Amino acid sequence: MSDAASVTIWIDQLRAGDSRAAQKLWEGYFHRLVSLARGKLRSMPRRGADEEDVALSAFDSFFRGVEQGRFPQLDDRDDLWQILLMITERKAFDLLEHEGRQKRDWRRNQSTDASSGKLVLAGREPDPAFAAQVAEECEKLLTKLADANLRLIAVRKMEGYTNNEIAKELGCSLVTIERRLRLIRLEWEGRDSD
Amino acid sequence: MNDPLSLSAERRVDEVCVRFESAWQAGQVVKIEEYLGDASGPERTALLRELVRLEVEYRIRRGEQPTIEEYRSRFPTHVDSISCWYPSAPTIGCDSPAEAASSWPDVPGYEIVAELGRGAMGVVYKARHLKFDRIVALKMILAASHCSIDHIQRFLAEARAVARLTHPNIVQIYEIGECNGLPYFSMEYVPGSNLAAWVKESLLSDMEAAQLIEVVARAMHYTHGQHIVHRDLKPANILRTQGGLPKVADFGLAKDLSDDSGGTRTGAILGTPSYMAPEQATGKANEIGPSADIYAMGAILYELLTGRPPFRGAGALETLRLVVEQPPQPPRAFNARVDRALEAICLKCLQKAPADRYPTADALADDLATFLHGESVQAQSGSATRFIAAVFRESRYTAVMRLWSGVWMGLAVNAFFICLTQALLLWYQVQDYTPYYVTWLVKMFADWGLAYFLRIRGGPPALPVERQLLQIWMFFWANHFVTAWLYQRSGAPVAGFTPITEMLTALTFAAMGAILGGSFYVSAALCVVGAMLSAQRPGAGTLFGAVVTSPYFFYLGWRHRRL
Repeated sequence: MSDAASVTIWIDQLRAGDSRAAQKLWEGYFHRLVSLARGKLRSMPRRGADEEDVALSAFDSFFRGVEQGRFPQLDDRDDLWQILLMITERKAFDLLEHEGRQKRDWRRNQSTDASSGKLVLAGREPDPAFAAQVAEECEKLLTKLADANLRLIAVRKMEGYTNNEIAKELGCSLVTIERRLRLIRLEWEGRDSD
Repeated sequence: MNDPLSLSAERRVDEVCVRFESAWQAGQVVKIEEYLGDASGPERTALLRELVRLEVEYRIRRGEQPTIEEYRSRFPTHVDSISCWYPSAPTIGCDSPAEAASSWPDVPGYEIVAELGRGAMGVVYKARHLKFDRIVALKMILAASHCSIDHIQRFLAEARAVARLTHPNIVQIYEIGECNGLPYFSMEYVPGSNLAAWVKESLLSDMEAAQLIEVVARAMHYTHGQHIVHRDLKPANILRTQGGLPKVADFGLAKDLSDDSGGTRTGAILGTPSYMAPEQATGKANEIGPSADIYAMGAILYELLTGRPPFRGAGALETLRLVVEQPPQPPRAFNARVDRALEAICLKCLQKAPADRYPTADALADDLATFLHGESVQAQSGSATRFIAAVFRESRYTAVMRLWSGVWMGLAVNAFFICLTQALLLWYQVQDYTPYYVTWLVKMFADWGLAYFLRIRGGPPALPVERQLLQIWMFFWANHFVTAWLYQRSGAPVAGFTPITEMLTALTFAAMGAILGGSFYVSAALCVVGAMLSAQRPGAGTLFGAVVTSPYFFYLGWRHRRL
């Protein structure tokens, strides 16, 4: 694994391999990233809408989980954190590319890998700017979910509850939680061929 | 696996399901049929799947006992899918033992004690066989998961394949059965861990690793003797008893070589990329044999010694590309304490071409045993000859060679008759150049005609290598005629020209050898011998061409036709 791996590649890699050490690295990275993003979210001006508080609650509660050593498992396909990071990274990369087209000097930007044009992580330390983008993106994605119930499922999932626990809290079927998580993924990834 | 629906379709499905569930939660008894609406295609299937799963759950909550048969008769168009949707096992890991136990399936004759693990294919429970009062592992298809007929067939294929095997280092299968329309089988319960868990703890010493893989290789040799190839050997599939003995498990992708009913899914890539042989990674299902398992054992040995599989790219596709294209880094690059002999054994297993690996799993086991006895291993022997063999090895254009094999056999037949005719002309000391030109022209047109009818007629050759071959061939003929004409003009006798023809042919074969591989160099060498003979005695080399070089070339074509 090279040091200059993008989050997406990294997650893919960890999913494909089965090294516990890799999971440990990911946990270390993730812990610092969540803590940075949470700090960022706290310092953002409150605009009154409760989506922000919802996102903050997800970060707060999740952060407590992380403190207790509860990390998202990379082999959990439903894990929303991984989706959040991938989406943020893709956007950050698109932005870089877009700026690059205007300025033509983006290759000199130290946070890109000149050979692949991919956004890279400096070593294993999360970039504060990236963490801020994660926090913003998280709010944006939660706002995207029109249905309050859908939003609650997303937050609970991010807080680290199992599908069974969420089903019990909402008094609905596990089948429903699985289906709605699938819908959340689709809503976030914005895939629509219709 | 279900095809993912579009966002708007998934929204519609979700919306109907929410209404359906609300009705049940409000205490109404509603029927799926009223909610299907006019959805069609995959969306209808997805909606039906969700509604069936919901309805079954809520009916069970009401104390009813819905049966799989009832749903099959209600939805006759989805008979096969119903059993997969039917929630006899949970899809998500359970939290409390009590909650988990309530969702375990009820398999007659067994009492399920715990869940051992879940994979893509199914779920494995620890269970008690009530009649024999023994603990077994019970493997079932993961219900309500993305399963299909193919899924079930593969599951049964595994059960049938493993059921035939009885070996102390292979997990024994006891019984195959069906419960709620879902097949299951019970097998030997192996307390302990698997190699994947073990190798994470610490690297193995050379001795430990060699002993372990030797045992596995002996077991695989037995398996191959039963005409079964595992195809998915990896650390996680090698269980370790508490005594440290390895036991091979999970023949999920096992291919029964004796079953040629076409049950294998040609082209589909199955297995785990990091431990997959190149022929498997390229989806050449018909080339996958015992050698793929030998490769996988090499990959496992590699990981035991270095803590990492031989290839690991960013994502599965990248890994597959590395498996096919890149040579592995020698294990000593990661762990300098690995013995050179053991490294050689490991790398011999990881050769790209099956023919370069150990011929059998037993040969691998024997070489590991030799290593353990401190003797010099076979993998290390003759490294100079192996280097030369590697340089002159057959290229990877075997597919092209097969396409052209018919042409080559034809060319050999042409060459035989032309050489014979020329040998006769020389024997009778015909000095006029004209008959020789005639034989060359006949040969040229016959050759090109053959190539045209067998290969070029359907359109210009698509592969770069075919174009290279055609060009080499054109240059040969052009060169040949110009050289002959120059030679004739110098006033030299025609008999003196035959060694030159032989040398031009040798050069052409050498060029083909450079592209296609070593066997053409033999043809080239034979032509050189012919040239020497011709220089000794007019006609001798030409006769040699007819009786030795042409038959050899025919043999080359014949051999590639059979590849």
